[in-house]
Amino acid sequence: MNRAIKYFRLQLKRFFKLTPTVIVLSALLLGALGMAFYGMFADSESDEKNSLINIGIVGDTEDSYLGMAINALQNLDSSRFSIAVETISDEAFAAEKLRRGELVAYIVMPDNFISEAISGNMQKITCVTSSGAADFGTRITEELMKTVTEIVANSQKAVYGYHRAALDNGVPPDKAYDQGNAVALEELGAILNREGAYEIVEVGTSGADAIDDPLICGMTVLLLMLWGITCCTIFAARSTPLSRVLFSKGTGAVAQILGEYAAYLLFMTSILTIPAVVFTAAARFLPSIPLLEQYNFTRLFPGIIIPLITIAAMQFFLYEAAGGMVSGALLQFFCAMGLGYISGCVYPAYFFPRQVQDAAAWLPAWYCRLWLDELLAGVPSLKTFVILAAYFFLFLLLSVLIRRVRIKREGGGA
Amino acid sequence: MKRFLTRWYLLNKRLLKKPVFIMILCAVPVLIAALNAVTSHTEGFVKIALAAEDPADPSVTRMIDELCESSGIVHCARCTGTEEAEDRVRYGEVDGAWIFCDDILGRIDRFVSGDKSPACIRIIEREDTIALKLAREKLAATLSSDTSFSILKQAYAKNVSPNYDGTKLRRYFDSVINSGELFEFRYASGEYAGDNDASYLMLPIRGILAAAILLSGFAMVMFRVRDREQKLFARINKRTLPLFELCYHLTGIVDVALVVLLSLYLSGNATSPLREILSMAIYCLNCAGFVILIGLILRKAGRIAAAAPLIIVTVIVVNPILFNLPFVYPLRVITPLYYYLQAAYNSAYLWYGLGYFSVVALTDLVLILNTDEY
Repeated sequence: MNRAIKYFRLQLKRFFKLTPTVIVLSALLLGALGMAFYGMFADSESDEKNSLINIGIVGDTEDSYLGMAINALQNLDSSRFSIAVETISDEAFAAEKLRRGELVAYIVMPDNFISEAISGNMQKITCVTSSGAADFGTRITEELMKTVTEIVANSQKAVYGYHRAALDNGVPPDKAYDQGNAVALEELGAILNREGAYEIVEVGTSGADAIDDPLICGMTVLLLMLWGITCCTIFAARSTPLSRVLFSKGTGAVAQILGEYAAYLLFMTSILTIPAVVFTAAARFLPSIPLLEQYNFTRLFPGIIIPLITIAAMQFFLYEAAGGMVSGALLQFFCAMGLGYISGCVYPAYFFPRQVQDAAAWLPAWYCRLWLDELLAGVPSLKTFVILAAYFFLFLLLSVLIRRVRIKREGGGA
Repeated sequence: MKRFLTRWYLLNKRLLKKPVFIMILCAVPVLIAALNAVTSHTEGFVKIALAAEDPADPSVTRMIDELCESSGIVHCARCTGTEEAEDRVRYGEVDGAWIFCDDILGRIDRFVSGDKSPACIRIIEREDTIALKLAREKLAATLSSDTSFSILKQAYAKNVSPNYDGTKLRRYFDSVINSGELFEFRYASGEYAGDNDASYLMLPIRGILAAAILLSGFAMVMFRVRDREQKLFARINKRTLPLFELCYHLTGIVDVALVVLLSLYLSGNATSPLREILSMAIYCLNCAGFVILIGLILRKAGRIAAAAPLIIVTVIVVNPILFNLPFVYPLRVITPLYYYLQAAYNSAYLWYGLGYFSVVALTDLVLILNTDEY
């Protein structure tokens, strides 16, 4: 027993040698990420600022029709709560904003587009998207443009269809043209007022259903899983001869694994205090940010210990299985990203097909995220806790078995 | 050349004799192919239940068919009745329900004439999120044909004759042939964007796999630090040392890069073979240069190990892989991943990537030649 405790203390010393470096780097990372997210979420005066999509329009907005249409989009249309439209005079500036990620896309309006369209000459509009962005904003923009195409096409049919019908039924051409313009304005009015055709009833959410909740919990789980790479040099430096010697002196595989795991867990828990302090301080001293106001991080952080115990056991098992530094680091990364991705840690789980969700519901990352979801909703479930505990024991058991095989294979012990 | 290949093989042997490393290299393409196969039938992440108050109404049936058959981010599923649609919303099986009211065409006529009640569509939602607001644009597009025709009818009745033949007017409406897609998608380089058929769930794969290549670079740096402490390769001539360092780090990077190239093709995200090979080659060089620089700054294996996941996370967050944050451009341009992601669809970034490598390699060269440890 004494030897096991000494071994545990030795492991603790090895892990905590990394602490100063990890603290400094964590502070830098959190600072950089915090600034980016602060820039995104700080100004929450209206829903209009937190638009999903920012689109620029490049063109001659002196054209009265285009200027009117853009003004309508910016101030009257219901889409202003999900799309922010910005007029930009210079295409080079729009390209620069696109490159910086400040726009999802920009549209280049041909000269005199609307007056040409009214005359029957529908020119193609170029929509420029970023070549490097592979996010939903780009995909949503593409689908939106197709939707707009359909609406505009039907509007065109109404305007020109009326024009032809009027001409064929004896209306003088100049009058038919004026009436066609009136039809175009009616179309514009119907488009701007399209939400008026609906009766919207909200029945309310139950628990943590809003899209933000899984994102925060999922990202936390993903970050914890990736953090395991931090200790790959320590795990790679473990010595099988030392394990054999300890085994021969009575410190079996179980005691060794428990000693190393406990030291690793303590180290990971102490590192967690850094973001806990940062978020608590930010919530207290920074101007109101809805993200920090909405979630009680001081309540969340103690609860993170539960999934951390399971995640640490999983990382420990992966390192034990990998046996080397490069393999260990890569295995940690691919497991973290792969499990995290399909378990809803990056995008909500319901984004995935039903088969993927059903498979992911067996994974430890799924239950880690679920535990945090339940914690934030204030309804932690015993079932989730039991499953996390089961995974914890499973990973440690597998680690013990691998260690025993390794010791016996190298010719040690009884 | 033979000596170079022999040394390359020997450096690689350390990695390739680890069964777990081989297993990872083999498993990644298989998993990517499996994920691609499953997500190719992705149903869309906004789920809407459709129902009709009058299921026998042919116009409603047409609209519902159109919505159910369309693909994209919004997935619509038909329900047998309005109660089923409402229940599916309440139990969280769908995000919203669109219930088409009876006499839909009459309601549309009244809406167009300015009479706002009663509504044409009853929408039941748990919460009016941005995604559902955007999904309603698809509904608007589906209704637009009948709405526009109603405007035409009413304008005709008002200006020409109140006694009109609806069928003839419909022919006038349908006779207008549109000139195809209104929008043409291009990238900033001017290159045609084309139709991206890959599932939206596979879009981040390129960036995630590229981050894995960078991680393998960090692993090679840690290996190198350990070798240096054990005085391995101490007799390498200082003149050839920079090239040796580059090749050393490239061994692990290239192994993972080859697997990533294969995985990209299996994921459906690959562009032309020449562009993929060139951009990957430049990315490998950039990764090697970047990790060597980090190694020269941090020096100890423990510090590099501590920094690696944090740098990987930062690289993933600041680049448009999972999210596209607007305020991180200065951070983005110092990561090698940025040039790789952009080069996939913009040839100019192949040159910018080479420029990045020149800067990083020059910095590495200066530091290596002026460091006593080497």
